[in-house]
Amino acid sequence: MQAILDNWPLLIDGLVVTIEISIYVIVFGTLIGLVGGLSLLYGGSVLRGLFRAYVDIIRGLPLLVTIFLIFYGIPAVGIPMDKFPAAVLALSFFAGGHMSEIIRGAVGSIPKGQMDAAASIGLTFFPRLRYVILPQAIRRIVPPWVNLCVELIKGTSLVSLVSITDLLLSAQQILERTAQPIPFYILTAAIYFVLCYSMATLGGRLEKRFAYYD
Amino acid sequence: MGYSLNFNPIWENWDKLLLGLGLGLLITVISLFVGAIIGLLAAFARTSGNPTISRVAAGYVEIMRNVPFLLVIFFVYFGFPTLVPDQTSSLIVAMAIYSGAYMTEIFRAGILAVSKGFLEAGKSIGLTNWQVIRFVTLPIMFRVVLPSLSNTLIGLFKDTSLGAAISVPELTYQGMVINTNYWRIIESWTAVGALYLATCYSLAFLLRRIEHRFAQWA
Amino acid sequence: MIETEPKGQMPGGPGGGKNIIVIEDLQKRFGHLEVLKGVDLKVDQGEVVVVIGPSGSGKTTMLRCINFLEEYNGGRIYVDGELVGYREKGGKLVRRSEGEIARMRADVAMVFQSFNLFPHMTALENVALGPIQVRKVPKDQAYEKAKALLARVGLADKLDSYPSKLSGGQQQRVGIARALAMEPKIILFDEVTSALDPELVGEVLAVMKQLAQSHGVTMLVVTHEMMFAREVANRVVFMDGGKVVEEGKPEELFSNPQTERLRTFLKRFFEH
Repeated sequence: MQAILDNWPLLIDGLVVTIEISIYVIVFGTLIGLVGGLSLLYGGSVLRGLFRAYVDIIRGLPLLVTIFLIFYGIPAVGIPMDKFPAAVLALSFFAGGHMSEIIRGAVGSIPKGQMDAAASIGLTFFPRLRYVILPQAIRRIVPPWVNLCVELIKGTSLVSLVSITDLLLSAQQILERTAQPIPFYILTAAIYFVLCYSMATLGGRLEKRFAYYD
Repeated sequence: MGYSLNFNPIWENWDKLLLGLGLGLLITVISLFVGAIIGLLAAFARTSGNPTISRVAAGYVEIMRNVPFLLVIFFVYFGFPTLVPDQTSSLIVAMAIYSGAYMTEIFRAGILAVSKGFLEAGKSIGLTNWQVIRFVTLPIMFRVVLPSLSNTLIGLFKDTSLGAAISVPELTYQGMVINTNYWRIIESWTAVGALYLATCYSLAFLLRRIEHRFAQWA
Repeated sequence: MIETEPKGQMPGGPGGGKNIIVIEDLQKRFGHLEVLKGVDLKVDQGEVVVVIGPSGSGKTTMLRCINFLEEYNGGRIYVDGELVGYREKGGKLVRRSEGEIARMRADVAMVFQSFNLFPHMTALENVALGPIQVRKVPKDQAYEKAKALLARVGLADKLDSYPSKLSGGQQQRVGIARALAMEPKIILFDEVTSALDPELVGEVLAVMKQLAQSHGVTMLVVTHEMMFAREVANRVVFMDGGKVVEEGKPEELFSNPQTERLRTFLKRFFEH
């Protein structure tokens, strides 16, 4: 118990890093996913092909391999990059690929008649998306998006393997000194649980907010 | 490393990479099997109607869904050195416990998909509860859950990569070894990545063929 | 009683005689399937033209080419003198820009068989969206106009209802109001009662009848409702196999069909 209290600040530092990375990755991932999903649906053959390759590669690779590839690969080809941005880049790459599939699925499931009706009153492409398609798609995007966000938050724990002091690495560093694995891992698990469960609850609220019709 | 690609160390160690891949697949299958048993039991617990058992199972599922897999691995490996002696079995145990939670939800959906009518028909010809489960529930459920299980299997295979964190000699770890010895980062991770891609898509293809075969029973 | 609203029609003439739609030798393929094999059709301002024909005759496809929801492969379509979807450049057809196509679509309104109301918007918002975002009408004005239009189609008490809470007939009437809100040069009706339960068809046809008799709205209607065609159309067009086979005044066409195909079609139809 004493050990926990002594090392609390280190744990908090790690938690902050985890939260920081999670936010960056979720934001970047969602942006990439929006571009990717819409490109897969409405883009020309070049754009579609590029994103198809991107998504199919990301989905076939473990997150850890993606992280190693980008984290060690970029400096190896001579581009200098700090650890933190490299990790965020790698995780965002992963996130964007999965996010693109989610958005492609949700937006693609909106009946074609909606696009027809929006076009027939004279709306051009982007206003069609903005006023008619996306407001309907967002309801179908939220649940898988929330699931992906939870997986991403859990995925940030992998940066501990490239020496970024997130929550998991902080816990392990403390463990080296105190050597009581079980209680510490349970505590760390509890913190992750709170993080992820909050995200899921937030997601539930978002779902309700967008279900204001039928 | 510069810009000159040199794949020689990769070809020289190709056998080690393939062994790692094989180990990963083996771990996946074993963990899937054990995890499926856990998941099935927990799913029956969730649908049993007994509130206590149901809540315990639900708690188990919630915990595993909100905690990183890497943490579970460390918990098993570092927390129980006497019970799970080596890295590979730690990984299998961790994976079985973790995936069991996800499979609980899959099996629960499967159980609920077996409509009452079938169960009543089974009972009305005199089958005991266990026989109903064996001859009615499980076969019907199997077809319903097959697609989700396929996805789970591929996901598990990708998750075996985390075994590298505790030096399980699967594919990712072999990649790390090559890096330490030869420092051919781009080549090694590209090769490892290509192997994962090839395996995952082959698995997906195979599993879809199996699904089609079974779908004919519908 | 419905008031006439001849806005959106051609300036200058009080109507009559001016071709709003000219279709010349229209051709359309879907892959290897030729659906339109040379359609010729003219619609005058203020006319109510009803198109009948068996399924597969290409009626809906022709309609969707007029507002360029389908691109056509041959021939020409002119709406109010402008070539639809393409520019003529040195004898060749070059696709118009997205903006131009959208501008032309705003003047050609469509009412759909499957309603296609925007489910995330109330009836009022559905009707007002076009005027606000496309015609750039200020919001209050647009909502006022939308209210009036919905009252005109008999839905004054459903302004704030979402489509999921409306019956099929009500939804379709909102669709008609949405089309009217754009003050179009012509309204295209694509089998708008085919997806409705029989008891709801009447209310929609009644609205369309009133529109037709107000003599302000040019209407091109694809339908199976022969009674409607008889009572309301200025002209009936019979299509079969991707071409116009016969056309004429409803009294003449129905009582004295000239072609064998129309005779067969009418016989089959009135036998049910």
